[in-house]
Amino acid sequence: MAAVAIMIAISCTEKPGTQEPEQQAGEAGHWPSGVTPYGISINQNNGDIIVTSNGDYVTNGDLYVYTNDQMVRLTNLELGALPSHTVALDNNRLLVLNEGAWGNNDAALSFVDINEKTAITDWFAINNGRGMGDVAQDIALVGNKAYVSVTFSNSIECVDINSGISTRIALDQQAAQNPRYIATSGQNLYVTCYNPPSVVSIDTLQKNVTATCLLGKYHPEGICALNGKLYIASSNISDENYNYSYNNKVYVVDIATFNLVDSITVGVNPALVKVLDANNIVVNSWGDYGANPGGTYIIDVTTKNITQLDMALFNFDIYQGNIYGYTSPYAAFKFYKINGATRESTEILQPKKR
Amino acid sequence: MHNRIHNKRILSLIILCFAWIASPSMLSAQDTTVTNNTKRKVLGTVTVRGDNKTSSTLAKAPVQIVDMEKMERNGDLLLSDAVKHMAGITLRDYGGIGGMKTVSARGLGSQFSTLTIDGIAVNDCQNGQVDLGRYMVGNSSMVSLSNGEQDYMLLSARATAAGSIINMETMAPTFLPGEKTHVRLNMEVGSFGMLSPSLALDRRLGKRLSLSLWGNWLKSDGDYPFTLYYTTSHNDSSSTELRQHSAMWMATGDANLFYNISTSSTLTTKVHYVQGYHQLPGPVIYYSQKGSENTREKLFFAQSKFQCHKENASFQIIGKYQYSYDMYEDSMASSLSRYIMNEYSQNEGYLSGATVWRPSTKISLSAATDAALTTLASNLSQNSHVYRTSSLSTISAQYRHRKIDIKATLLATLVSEKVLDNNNTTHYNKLSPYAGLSFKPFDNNRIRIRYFFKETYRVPNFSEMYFFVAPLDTLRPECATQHNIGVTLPMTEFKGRDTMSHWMMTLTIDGYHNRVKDKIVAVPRQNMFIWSTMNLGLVNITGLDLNYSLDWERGHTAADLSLTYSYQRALDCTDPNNHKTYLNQIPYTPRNSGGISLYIKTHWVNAGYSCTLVGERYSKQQNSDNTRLEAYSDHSITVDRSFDLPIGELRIQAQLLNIFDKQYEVVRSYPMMGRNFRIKVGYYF
Repeated sequence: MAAVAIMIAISCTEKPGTQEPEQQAGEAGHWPSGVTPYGISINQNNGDIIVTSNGDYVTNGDLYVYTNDQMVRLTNLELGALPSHTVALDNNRLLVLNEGAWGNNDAALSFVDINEKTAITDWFAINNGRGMGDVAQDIALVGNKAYVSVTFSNSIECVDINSGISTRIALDQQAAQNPRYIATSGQNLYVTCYNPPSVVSIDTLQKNVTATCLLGKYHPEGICALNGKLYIASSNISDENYNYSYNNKVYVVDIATFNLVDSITVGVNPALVKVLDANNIVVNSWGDYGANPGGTYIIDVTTKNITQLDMALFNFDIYQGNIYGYTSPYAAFKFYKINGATRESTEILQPKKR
Repeated sequence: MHNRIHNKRILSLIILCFAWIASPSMLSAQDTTVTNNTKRKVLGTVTVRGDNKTSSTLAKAPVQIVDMEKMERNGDLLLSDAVKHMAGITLRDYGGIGGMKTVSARGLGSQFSTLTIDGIAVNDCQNGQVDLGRYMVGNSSMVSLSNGEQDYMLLSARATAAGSIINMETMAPTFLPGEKTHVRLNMEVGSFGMLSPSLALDRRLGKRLSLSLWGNWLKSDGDYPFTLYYTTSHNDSSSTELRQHSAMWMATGDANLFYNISTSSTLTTKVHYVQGYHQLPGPVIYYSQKGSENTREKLFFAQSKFQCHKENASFQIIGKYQYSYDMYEDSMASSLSRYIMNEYSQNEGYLSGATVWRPSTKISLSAATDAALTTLASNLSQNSHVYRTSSLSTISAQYRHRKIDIKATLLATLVSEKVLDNNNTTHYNKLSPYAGLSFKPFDNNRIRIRYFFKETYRVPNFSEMYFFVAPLDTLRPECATQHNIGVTLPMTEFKGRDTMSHWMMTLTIDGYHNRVKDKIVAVPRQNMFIWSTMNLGLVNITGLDLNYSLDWERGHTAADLSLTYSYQRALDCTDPNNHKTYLNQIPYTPRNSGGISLYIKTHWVNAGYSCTLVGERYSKQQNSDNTRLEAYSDHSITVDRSFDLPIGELRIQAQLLNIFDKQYEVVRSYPMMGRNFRIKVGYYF
């Protein structure tokens, strides 16, 4: 009896907090070592570099904000599960989308105040009395509305950024389901969908799907709208034995007719597509994790001329004609800033050794 | 009916006897003396040789036993029902009758628990964990959970190798003089399309030979209602939904041949077959529920055990062949891909020999060796054909005198496996010790103090080895070290103020400290879809198990009360630099849990109440408000009555489960059934 009590007593001495964990803080010009980046976004208002960490997929991720000249504005601010995309409401307020893990219904929007160094990760649930659901993939800001695609809950949430109140567009009964990435133009959203592989046009005023364009057999991912056309990455699909087969195309859909009109060949397994400037888009491909490595491509949409960059960016964002991104986080990754016109690259946020 | 009550004390002895019978231990003879005319439950006294007695209070390592009577009165259907009230058990239940149910004992992880049937392991080399929802207890005489090492000397090496053992013991037929046949017919119906008819036939084939056949068909529609809360706080929006795509059926057939070759040797043979189909509803997703996954499974095994007991020595030989087939399909593919279909088939041949030598009344020495050849074939493109040869050997010694009982075992594990696709081979060689001690400090008091130490290696299973991207470093076995110290108060009997009533109580309290190192965890490798496995984790577990039972009997009336309580402080000690997980409670492990069960027998009717209490848990390694799962309690009541008919006996039982309709989840996003009923009618002759 006494021995049992002693055993319990011994174990109770190791209380949480007796050993102060080392904080993995960002420093000016440096990315903290041992931390794996997940999302990278640039604040279009002031050029701040906003990076989130993946929490090793099991814990909440953190937010790091650097000024455009790499001074630390915010470091180690805990968010939710897998924080990915960020939209900036102004110089100091951000909405960070937390993807969440499949089956957990923990997709969330963190409302971040950089000056106050605070994050309200339950912001969506607090304002709506309900969670967003399962796996939020993308967020797009148009005026005072943030549009969020929630893949497994089959929703597009239309969030008023002032009140936080959201209206849900259900894709459950629609022909195309499992929304992924969002592009916007006027009052329309263009959303890629997994099931079946397609892109849909959603009227944000009517809150309904107005057109659907099927996109072959591979899952569509990133999308952007430029000069009346949609550019869509056609990535991969797995067969019944989990063997993946990969596409290497960027599909071009004409917005007016909503038909597939062209395709552009890039590297294997294209993922993200973003507008660089009035005439160019940027596409990255993740490769097949085997013989074919990933790549980053600048495509002139008029001439269809393709330039491949020296580095394969895993994730990136665009600000004032510059590409900000990092290379595969499953190896020794680096952050780069690349001038979209001159293709000149600079390494930024070099990892700091502990 | 009344005979059972009259024979209350005998029954208690019998329960112990069942434990002995059940054990893969030495029984000298089957001199069955019938003491009860309740025919389906013929009670025997068994002469048991000195060094193999075991009970929950005398054993050096904790063992918890649920006998047939208890399972019957609780209306236990599945193996998971029988073990869920045991202390130290964390049951992970995905909901409904068809939902997967795995157990972790004392925070070690489900893969450290081995299921044995009649002392012979049911091996799953693919996932290394057993779904207790796939085994029915209708033909079992008892289910036991042993932490550390079981208290017998005549043990197969494999039964020694596990961190904890759940054993199911087959009901052995017994006959009154002149009887040749017993039949047990049961029909059970329940809410949400649950149906379970079963038939058991016991037949005496000769003076020394008897046969038992048992068959069951279980089906459930599983379309139960639940409340879906749209926030983790459960205070906001909610809706009532129906669980979809949750139907299942399972057919089980079991045949046993019992042959008493002579007074000193027995041969038992079992052939077992299960075939099933389960729809997997998957996690409940807000706003969009779709189930499209199904599994089909088959399990066949044939096993035979020969035991011989002489004056100073005993030995046993076991042979087994096992085949299993598992098919997983996702008909519409949970949106991530198109149709998915995976098939896995496993074959295993197993041979085991064990011998005990007793040079004196106090000392026993034993040696055991096992060999198994296991193959796994799948329709996956990589590592589709794997085979593993494993050899386990033990030597052990025991000293048992009046006050003290000590046992020490050394286990050698030799495993080698080969991937036929690429001829890669891996070898594992490990030595692991066990030591157990039970000590009676007082002459005038039956209190015993016990202690055990055990080291267990768990060789990586095939999923960890081959169904992820190849690990960078060769995976090492996971290692668990267990220390247990306990106090037991064996069955203590006392009389009430009026001499008519008897009271009986037992109490065991065990504190333990376990450590799991080199825990195998999955980590993303190239992207979030491609994961690999590594020996990364370290978990320290400190806990306490308490079992208390109080039985009361007066004339035709009797009552049994049992209480269990578990405390588990299971902390992730992997990375001191990770302040989000370091010293956080590991997922799905409650700090506090317990159970209450009360059963009252009267001349007219029997009634029972039981309840499971589980404290708050976390669904992830990071303990936070958003990963917290609320505490719950689940209460059930049962009423049964038996009627003696001109031929045979009729028994009717009605159960109301989750009487307060508590909405809870054991696993996040997998709601459990609310209030539901079951009615069982049995006819036995």
